Amino acid sequence: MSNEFLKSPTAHLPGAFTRRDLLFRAGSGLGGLALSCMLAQERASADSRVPSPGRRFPNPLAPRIPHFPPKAKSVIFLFMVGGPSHMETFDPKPALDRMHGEKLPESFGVIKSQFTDGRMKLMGSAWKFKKYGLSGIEVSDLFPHVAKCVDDMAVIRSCYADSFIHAPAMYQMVSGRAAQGHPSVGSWVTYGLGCETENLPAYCVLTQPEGLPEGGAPMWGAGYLPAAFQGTLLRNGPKPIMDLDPPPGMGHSEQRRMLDYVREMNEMTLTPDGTDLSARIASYELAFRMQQHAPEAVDLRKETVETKALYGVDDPATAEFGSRCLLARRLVERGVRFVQLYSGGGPVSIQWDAHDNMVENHTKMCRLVDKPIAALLKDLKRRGMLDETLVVWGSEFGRTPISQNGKGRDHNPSGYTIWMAGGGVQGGRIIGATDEIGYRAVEDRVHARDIHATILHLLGLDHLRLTYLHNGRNERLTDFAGEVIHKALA
Amino acid sequence: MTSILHAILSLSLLHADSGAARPTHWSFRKPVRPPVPKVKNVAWVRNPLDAFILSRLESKGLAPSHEAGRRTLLRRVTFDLTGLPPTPQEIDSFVGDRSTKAYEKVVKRLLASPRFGERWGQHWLDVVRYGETNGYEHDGERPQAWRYRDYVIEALNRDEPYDQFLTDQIAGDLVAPNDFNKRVATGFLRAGPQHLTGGNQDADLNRQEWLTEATTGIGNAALGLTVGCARCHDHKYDPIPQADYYRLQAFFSAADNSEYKSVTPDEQKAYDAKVKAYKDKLKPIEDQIAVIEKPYRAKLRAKRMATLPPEYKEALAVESGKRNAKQKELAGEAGVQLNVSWDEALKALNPDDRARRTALRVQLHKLELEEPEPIRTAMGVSDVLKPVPVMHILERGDPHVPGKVVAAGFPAAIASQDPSLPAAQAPPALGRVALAQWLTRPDHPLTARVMVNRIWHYCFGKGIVETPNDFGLNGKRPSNQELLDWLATSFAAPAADRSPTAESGLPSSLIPHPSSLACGWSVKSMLELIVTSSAYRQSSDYDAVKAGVDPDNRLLWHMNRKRLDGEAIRDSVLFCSGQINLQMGGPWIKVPLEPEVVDTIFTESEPDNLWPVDPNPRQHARRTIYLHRKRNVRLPMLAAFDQPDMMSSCAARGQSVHALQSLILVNSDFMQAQSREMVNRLINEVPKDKSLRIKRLFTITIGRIPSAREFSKTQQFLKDQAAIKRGQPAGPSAGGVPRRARTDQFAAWTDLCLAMLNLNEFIYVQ
Repeated sequence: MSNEFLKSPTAHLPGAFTRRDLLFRAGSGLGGLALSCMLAQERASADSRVPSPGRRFPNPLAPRIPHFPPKAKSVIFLFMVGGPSHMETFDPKPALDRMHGEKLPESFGVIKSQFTDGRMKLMGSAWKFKKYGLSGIEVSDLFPHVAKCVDDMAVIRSCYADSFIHAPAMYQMVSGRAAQGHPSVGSWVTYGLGCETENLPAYCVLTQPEGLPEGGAPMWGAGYLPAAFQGTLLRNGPKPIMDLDPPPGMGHSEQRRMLDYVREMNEMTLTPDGTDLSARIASYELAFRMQQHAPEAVDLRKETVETKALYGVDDPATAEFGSRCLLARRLVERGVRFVQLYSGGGPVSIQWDAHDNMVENHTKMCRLVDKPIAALLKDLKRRGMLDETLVVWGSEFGRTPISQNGKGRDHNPSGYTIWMAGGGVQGGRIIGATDEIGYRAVEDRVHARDIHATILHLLGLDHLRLTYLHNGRNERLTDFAGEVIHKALA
Repeated sequence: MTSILHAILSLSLLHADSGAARPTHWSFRKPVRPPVPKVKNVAWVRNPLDAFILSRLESKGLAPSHEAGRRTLLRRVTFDLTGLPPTPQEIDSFVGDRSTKAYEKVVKRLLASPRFGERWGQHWLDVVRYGETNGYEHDGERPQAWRYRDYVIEALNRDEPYDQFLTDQIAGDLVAPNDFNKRVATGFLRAGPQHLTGGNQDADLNRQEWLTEATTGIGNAALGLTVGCARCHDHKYDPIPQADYYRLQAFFSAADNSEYKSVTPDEQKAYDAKVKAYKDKLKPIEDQIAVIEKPYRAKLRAKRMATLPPEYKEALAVESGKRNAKQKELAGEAGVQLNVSWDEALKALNPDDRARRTALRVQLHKLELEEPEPIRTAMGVSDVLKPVPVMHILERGDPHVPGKVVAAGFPAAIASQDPSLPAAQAPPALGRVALAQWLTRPDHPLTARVMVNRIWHYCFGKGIVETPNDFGLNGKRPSNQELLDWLATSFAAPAADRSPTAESGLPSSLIPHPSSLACGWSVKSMLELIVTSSAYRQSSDYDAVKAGVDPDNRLLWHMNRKRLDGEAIRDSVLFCSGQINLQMGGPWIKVPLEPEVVDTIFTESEPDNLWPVDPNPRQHARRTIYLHRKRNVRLPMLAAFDQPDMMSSCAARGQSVHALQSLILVNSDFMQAQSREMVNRLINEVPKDKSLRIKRLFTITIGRIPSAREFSKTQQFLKDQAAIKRGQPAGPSAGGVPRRARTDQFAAWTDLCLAMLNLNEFIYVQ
């Protein structure tokens, strides 16, 4: 496989940036002889028939030109872990409210889900919906802040997934397949586009402090793509990335001296075909840069009081998720390509998985995220960043129109809502519909693969052409299907 | 739901390819033993495989590279065969050995080393995507899966012939029902992930997922074909290839997962007693925890009770035996509403109670390390399904849409050349034994070719077929098919069956071991043949002219440089620091993980004790193959250096280079600790003479002494680093570090050792 990997990162993308472009962009502050050495090689090889393995060993995360002009440069994917109810948030179902307490009409068949037997009674929404913005899109009282942004949002009410079990459905939402082990969308995006900054990881993952989504770390794994494309967990605070800082007892100046020694020694054994070796030399410089820049990127103290208040950092309920939304903006601002942000994880009480009590669960969970998410959209917009930043809000599935345990709802992969904003998305638009009780998506049905095709499209990538040969198959994010959701495009 | 079974790209292609009008794809034709080509530079040919390489080079006007220096060669072959660097003593001994067979002696020594099975076992575990947990959300542990890992290591160490090795893994339970180890071998069919979860179960789907995994596993590992990975509906192929896929799957239709125990009633009794004693030890602590929580839980429950709608309260008020149907339902729902979760209870505790509870939990977890060893169990498969379920072709792979019935049968495109093969029949008439027999026929078009190509890949960094898991139409064509076929026929030929001189046309003095030309499926013989060849012994030096002719080195005009994989890096660091614990086999080891990594273990339960580290620190220095292989959480160093995720077969490790690798190699606790240990070792071995000590360090880590320039740079570095350290306030107190560590000198040496472990020369093998 290694040989495919060596060639394919550029092979799928004609007209990629050359190493030289990258090095010029990277500026002169690198101080890395290794980089200038690589540059010299690149120049030399351009004029001769000597193979340039340098192109086979570029920094795998160097920025690359997309297939066609992109609308978005980066993505922030807000993943609500456990499956929020669409009927309580973005998909009003007055008929369901009217039928509250009644048996499911036979015309709907038997609802299949993980825990209920499908014979429970219908349950209406405990929340009222109101129209918002110029578009008049209806949003429930659970999302009063996000509701004010509807004119920037394309609300897709007709999503569906293949599994009613969390982990497979989560894998599908992040990798297109319900089977574990395929590369996540952030990995595909960074594989296709590289990253605008070398100071930070290209693909950052921000999780709920209490724990992970059920799918675990494979949700940001690179699958069979090279390890360079796996997501990196990033935290607020002084240690944002694991092993970022020199260990206790080693100061920065000693480390610098040590890295210089390593570089000098490595340069002495460098051979003309040693571009993999040069890449390793450069990787130390990149690591050193990350050490210098990552702490600044996660330092929210630099933000104004007004901005922090906007994200709810000053309110105990919203401080945690608000900080992560603010961090997401700061990362994107600094050139990070893909930010995956999870709300919920670990104990059931901190997931959107309202089996027992819709009111208790969603009141709590929405309160945690509503203001921060709205702030993220507003803040991106006022900074002129929303045009280039695609924001996706979604989950692995929605919830059943019938109740579970009287007050809760079970998993419903047959119909649910995802919305997208910014980055080339047409705001103020509703796409698709579920049936009158919110069970099945019936109009303009949208699968995770279609969401993925659309994300890639907005980034200037053709999902059919972004491929990677693995065990005899040209794998792609969208597997065998996937269609761009044209109705969602501006 | 992986219901949507990917059908059969390659088999579809096989079929498409097997049409009468088209010539059969090269890899589906039986290998024909080619004549050894004539070459000009006869002196270079050490064994016939060299002639195959050389004749291609000569036809392009190229000469092979000179032989690598002894130190380089020793380092290369030691890593390739054992995954570890040579020791200074081994280097001295080889460099000083002027006998003509000095190198051959080294090869024999390495092949006989127990480290061999550990290295090559890892390769096989990659191919079968071996993991010790199930994957998916619960990622549950497979407590005795490690027995399969040990089986693989032992089989390779005793050079189990590959046909037997494969047979035992496919049908060990059938060929020797009372042989525990052969039962363990069938763990191959369960090495992959398995989705196990709660709630409403779809038994058909679960079974189909296992069948898919087993069939895919055979396809990848033995046939080198992607049998399970494409969707039928979206390819415009005839439905027959889909039938071929299900025919292959039908060999397993009588089989199911089985946990085979061989235990006497006395052993069982003793075990039960141990378990009881263990539980009796835990009980009082568990009770104390419950006592602490009780009032808090009661209070939380009462609070919930107060907000419960009246109809629920009324239902609960009725005595449980006297509730009517409606009341029963409401009471059941109320039970859910009133349930207090662990995290709610924990949050409610006052600080004192919480501290007491925490202390008790710590005590509990300490006792849990004493859990009795479970009864010896082989995690494998056996033919337990009676009557044997009928196998259907599944529409879109969906077990709920069964199509035509099929019986077990061999894929037509490969087997059609063989009229002697039995026609399709259902198991047990045609079952796993028949499948194994077919696969291990010496003239099977794929089995031997696929395996020798894997061996070649691990030796040269690149296979003769560069896609070792794909010999189908999507795969790469072999760079030298004659060579591949010569190797494959040598590999599968019954040992001592061929007379080497008769066919090679070479002077007999140039043929090293007659036996190695007919390996009888011996992996070690094949390896010996390869690593003693001139082709393997070439230098990896660059040559601009040759690179101009053959930039990808397909002709092998020099050796490919190979990056160590994550396991080899970790093992070598431990080896060089002197800390490695070479104990073999046994249950997996959990080594300390960074807290950030422990946090990535998913759980809905209380997250303490998610990763109970082995209490004996010496166990933390075991070779990587013995560390717990959890599918969802991997050691950062291994993951960063392209360890596969154990979800699909990995035939060739990635070789990525990225910044996080550098952060780990410079800053991680592991690297720091091992660098300190290395200084201890050095001071111990070379107490006084610092120049000698520097030379020793170079020899230990990169297998050579420094050049004059390197030497002076290194001296300067030590001086500078000590000076910087003197100019700095003392670091935090170094608990556990030897007293002499507090000197600047020790710290400078630590940094030097760390630097050596970061050199390209340490991470790459020339």
